[in-house]
Amino acid sequence: MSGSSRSIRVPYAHDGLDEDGERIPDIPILYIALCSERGRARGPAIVDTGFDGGIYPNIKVIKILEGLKPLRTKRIESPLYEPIECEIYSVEAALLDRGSGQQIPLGTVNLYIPTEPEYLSNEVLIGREILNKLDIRLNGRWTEIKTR
Amino acid sequence: MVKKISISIPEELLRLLDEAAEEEGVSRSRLIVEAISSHLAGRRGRLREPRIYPTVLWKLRAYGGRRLRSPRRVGRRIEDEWIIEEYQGSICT
Repeated sequence: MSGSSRSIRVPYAHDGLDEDGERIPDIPILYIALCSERGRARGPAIVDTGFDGGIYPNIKVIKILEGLKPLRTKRIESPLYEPIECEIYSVEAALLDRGSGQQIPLGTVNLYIPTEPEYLSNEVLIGREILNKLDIRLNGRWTEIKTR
Repeated sequence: MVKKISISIPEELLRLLDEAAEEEGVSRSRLIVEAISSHLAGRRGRLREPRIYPTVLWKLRAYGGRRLRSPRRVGRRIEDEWIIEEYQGSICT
């Protein structure tokens, strides 16, 4: 690297074996921090280029939005099911470099929270609303983000 | 005013219904009416709880969690946990 640019590299998360004992492909992840008026949350998010939105949170993250009103509702397409109605919230977000402990601000991002409990995910997803603004490289072992 | 309706009911549930009606000494219709009344009263009570946002938290509380384990729900795959800081609200069960 040269100048003031630097990069964050996050190793893929292992996904174990399937029912046939075959290894499931590892998962590209990033560590992010989210901040609302009610609290802060930080943890791993799956890099999901198939998700149109910004962040699809899990129940832990949703709790830092308790009592806050959504900006609006929006239906997002699911490739497997019918369209999912989501409430959209705006929060401050940052990428976390767990090695150095530094944060790289992402600015304001949209959280898409399903209104039906059955669509809750245990994992947090980070989608193209955010990914498309990043210089990102996936090589099967690392997720690498270059910043300037 | 009482109206007659026709409903479909699984055979096993009908058997249990008839057993319960006999035990309580009431008619099948009476027991069905009581069961529906009780269900609707509980539902009205749950829906009267003040709405909170996000809606999904309100629904989880109103219905006491997911009604069924949904096959749509994706399980945990990443080992690292999320950490919540400065959270001031109550815990949603």
